[in-house]
Amino acid sequence: MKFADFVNRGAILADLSADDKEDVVRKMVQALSDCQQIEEDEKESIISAIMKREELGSTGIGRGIAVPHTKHPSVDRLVGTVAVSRAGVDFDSLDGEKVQLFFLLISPPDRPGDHLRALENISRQLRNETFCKFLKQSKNADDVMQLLDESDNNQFGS
Amino acid sequence: MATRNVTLTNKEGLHLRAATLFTTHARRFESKIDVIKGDQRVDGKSTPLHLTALGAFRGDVVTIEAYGQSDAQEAVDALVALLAANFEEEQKEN
Repeated sequence: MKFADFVNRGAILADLSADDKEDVVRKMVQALSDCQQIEEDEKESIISAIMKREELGSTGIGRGIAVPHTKHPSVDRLVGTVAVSRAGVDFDSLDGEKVQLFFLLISPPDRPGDHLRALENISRQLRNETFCKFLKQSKNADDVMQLLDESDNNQFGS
Repeated sequence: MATRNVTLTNKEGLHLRAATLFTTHARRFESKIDVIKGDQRVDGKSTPLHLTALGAFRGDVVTIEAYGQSDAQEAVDALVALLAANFEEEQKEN
């Protein structure tokens, strides 16, 4: 499953500034709502589900990366977006560092395979330090999208 | 060296939460700890991304291998138990 299969270009936030974890999640979910990838009415429920998952254990897995996610009955296919924060946001990460790269995933409850495949893809690509570095330096949504496309086409050689 | 196989019986396989719990716990041991799936071998003490990158789904078998120090067997047993407990908890949640 490639980035192109689930990341909505219109919802990419390349210059995110946010106060805290919930602010990040809110802004990313709002971006998805603005692009009609999720229903406006379901926004709060989705945000709440994502925050609940964070309580189980932060998805700030270190190296300046976080993968907030949830299952939600209002989506019938995997929906995702990416945000980049140059300054970084405190996300209660495993390594104590701020997070600059956020990959948010919302998946239908009855298809754990899709979610895991997306996670597998994200994980593989993010193991590439060059890819991460470039992403963190992105200036706008086009930059981000181009990097994701290049990564999908294995141009970072991971 | 100590080694044990784990069959992923849960719905979600080796997903982020299980991977995070695994790496956090693995770091408590002195031995080197590898997780193997097919021809992929990754460092079990490093970022959880390595584990989620394995793409280990329900029904897959992964091997936990610990070596280098005297706590190798203890490490493997503890990590196998950790995964089993995590999967059991998930069954209840679902």
